Amino acid sequence: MLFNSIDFAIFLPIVFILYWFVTNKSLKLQNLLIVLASYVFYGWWDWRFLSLIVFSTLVDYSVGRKLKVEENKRNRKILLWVSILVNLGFLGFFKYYNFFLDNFVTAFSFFGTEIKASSLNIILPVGISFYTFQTLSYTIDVYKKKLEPTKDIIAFSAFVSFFPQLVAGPIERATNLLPQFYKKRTFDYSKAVDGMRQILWGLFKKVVIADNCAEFANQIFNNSSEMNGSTLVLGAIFFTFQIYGDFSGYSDIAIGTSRLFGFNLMQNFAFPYFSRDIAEFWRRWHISLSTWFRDYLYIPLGGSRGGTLMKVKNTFIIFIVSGFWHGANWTFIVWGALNAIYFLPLLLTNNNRRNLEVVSQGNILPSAKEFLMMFVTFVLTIFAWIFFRAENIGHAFDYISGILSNSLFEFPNFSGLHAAISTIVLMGIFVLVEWSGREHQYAIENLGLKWKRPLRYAMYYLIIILIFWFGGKEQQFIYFQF
Amino acid sequence: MKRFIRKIVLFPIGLLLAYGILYVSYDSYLNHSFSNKDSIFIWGDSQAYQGVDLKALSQVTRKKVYSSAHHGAGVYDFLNFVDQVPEDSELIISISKLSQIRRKDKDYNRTGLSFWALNQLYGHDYSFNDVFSIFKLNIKPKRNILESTKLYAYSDSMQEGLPLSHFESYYEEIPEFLDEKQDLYLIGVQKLIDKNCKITFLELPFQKQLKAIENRSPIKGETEAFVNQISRLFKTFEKDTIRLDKTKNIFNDYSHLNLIGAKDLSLKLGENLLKNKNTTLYIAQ
Repeated sequence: MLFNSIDFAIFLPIVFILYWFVTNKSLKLQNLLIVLASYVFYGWWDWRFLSLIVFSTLVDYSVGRKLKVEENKRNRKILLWVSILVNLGFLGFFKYYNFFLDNFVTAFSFFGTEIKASSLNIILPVGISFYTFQTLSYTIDVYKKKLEPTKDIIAFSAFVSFFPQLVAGPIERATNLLPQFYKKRTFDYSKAVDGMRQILWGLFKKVVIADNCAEFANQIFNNSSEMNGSTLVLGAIFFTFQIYGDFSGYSDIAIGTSRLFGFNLMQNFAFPYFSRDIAEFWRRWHISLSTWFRDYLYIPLGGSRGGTLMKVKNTFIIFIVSGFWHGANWTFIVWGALNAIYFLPLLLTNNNRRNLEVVSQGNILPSAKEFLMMFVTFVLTIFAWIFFRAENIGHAFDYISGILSNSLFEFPNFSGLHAAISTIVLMGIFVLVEWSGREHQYAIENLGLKWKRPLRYAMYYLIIILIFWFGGKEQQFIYFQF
Repeated sequence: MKRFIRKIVLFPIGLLLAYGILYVSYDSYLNHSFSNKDSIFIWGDSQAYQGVDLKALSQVTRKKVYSSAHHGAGVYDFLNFVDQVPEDSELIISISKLSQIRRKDKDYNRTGLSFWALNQLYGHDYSFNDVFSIFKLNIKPKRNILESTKLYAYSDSMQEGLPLSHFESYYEEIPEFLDEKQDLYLIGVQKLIDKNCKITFLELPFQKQLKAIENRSPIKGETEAFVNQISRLFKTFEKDTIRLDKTKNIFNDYSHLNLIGAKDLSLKLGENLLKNKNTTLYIAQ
């Protein structure tokens, strides 16, 4: 079920009413309703893959229970590996099987050995990378005794399958989300209104910014060989806005929806395109995944504590794995490696934690230096996104060489240029609103709160009308494929 | 909770009001600032869009000519036009054969919002989802009435355009929705009669290879019967032929005239309009 679909617009009020009016007397019933609603939400795509979630839930619940009583170190480790192998086994099979097979065949044929192996027609279950990581965080935290394993299988099932963030995050930690299922939730008016505002802004980002940009980005990337340099630059900018609007929009809707049900999810995007360096960008982009890798991969590997070689190695590992998490394609690996290359100079010169606070805090405009730093970081990010969006490495290099040709100085020229102008205007307005709200959880968190009610409502109506009038052609959320 | 529910219920009411006011004002600005005095409005699909030279027709008739023809326009667009057009207007209507047999999901369906038209569709073979998707396409007002069109340039030989196989598949068998679609067109024509509009019907030509496909098809009988059904709605209904000058290539592709063909047709049609005051179907050949 898509957040920007009629199905969800019907589903959400039904669940909301059942949750607060029918099951509100019992915490167990509320949690059970969340599990059932989440299974319906997920099964709307393909009910067959529900079995994966149920199986993963049962395995991790059982491992958690066993870890509670098991004191033997070796046995505890075995239990942890059972969970890791089951979860990553599913992920590996559904997401990476064909990739590894194809690459093995190619590698062997390179050395003159022909291997006959046919790839399987595997459908990737929606959101598998997200819920797999979420359940893994539970087992690892229980193993490390940071978290008490739960006895309540319904609460645990609700934690694994919680529908607002099930298919595209934020990837919640068990330490944050699971305890919320144990506590009685009471309806909080201001929290619910705030949730609605965040949903509204998320829809704007997705439907107006991302879906419109997607049309032009697709047109330019799919016909890149026929486009001049400046058009290719424009295509990369469109994709840069598309992926941000799409993914952060989804996160906003997920967080807002959770607030309607009395839950607090972590912030997943903190205005990453206003970052002054790549390290700051990675503290602000897909925060739930970056911190997951930091806590469960980077730090266990030694983090930045060792010598230079270890720092370089760990940085490359975390960025490449992060890239590979996005998809079974070399383009994602190169995208990850490129970000590692961007990041390393900052790490090696101890400048990676230089810009921790919000840019130009308390000021209307950034200083010239801040502006320049943001611009350079933004350009580096756009360049990296070319690899992320390209069909394959060859396509990415062709795209870049197209940009670096003489035609870079020609006027952009593609069939949708006239229609793209209104999208560019909307992107400009979007940047201004995001800039004005950069000190908050989401751009319009505080916008209009002190205004008189008619003016505030006029703002809501305006956003909704913009969604209706300027909404692009409905597109699948990009991160569903991950 | 009560406060939240109350606001959630009241919010859409305010939104509907605000949206309605904005929609009506913007739509009026786009589509209702045209006087129907000394004017002719044209409705049709791409055949009419490319087949009528508005300037030439205006020159002959000495009337302002507006086109509401759009590529792919279908029955919803026709009903919307019918609902939109002022009473006592003078109209040229071209319900092309292709617009009758085109699958409903391929229709343009983007010429504006008419609840009357949507309601008609819902009663005739269109599901709630079909109607809702058309509604979604029209939540933003669009300029439906054009004062100028861009005709296909002249070329010595015809362009390929859509391949013949495309039309062959269209003309293979009688589509099951044809009756329902034709009924909807008849409802629209009847409403135009009720609005006391002066209607001239126009049938634009097919290039000979497409004509041959049509002649072989069982659909031909159905579209001819449809013309008879239209004629029965009027007290007097005439048919006349407009013969186009074919010394030069007049087709852009199998189903569209080029600039030369459109100009020739428009001049001859204009002269006929000046002479003949009865409801007439002009068949261009």
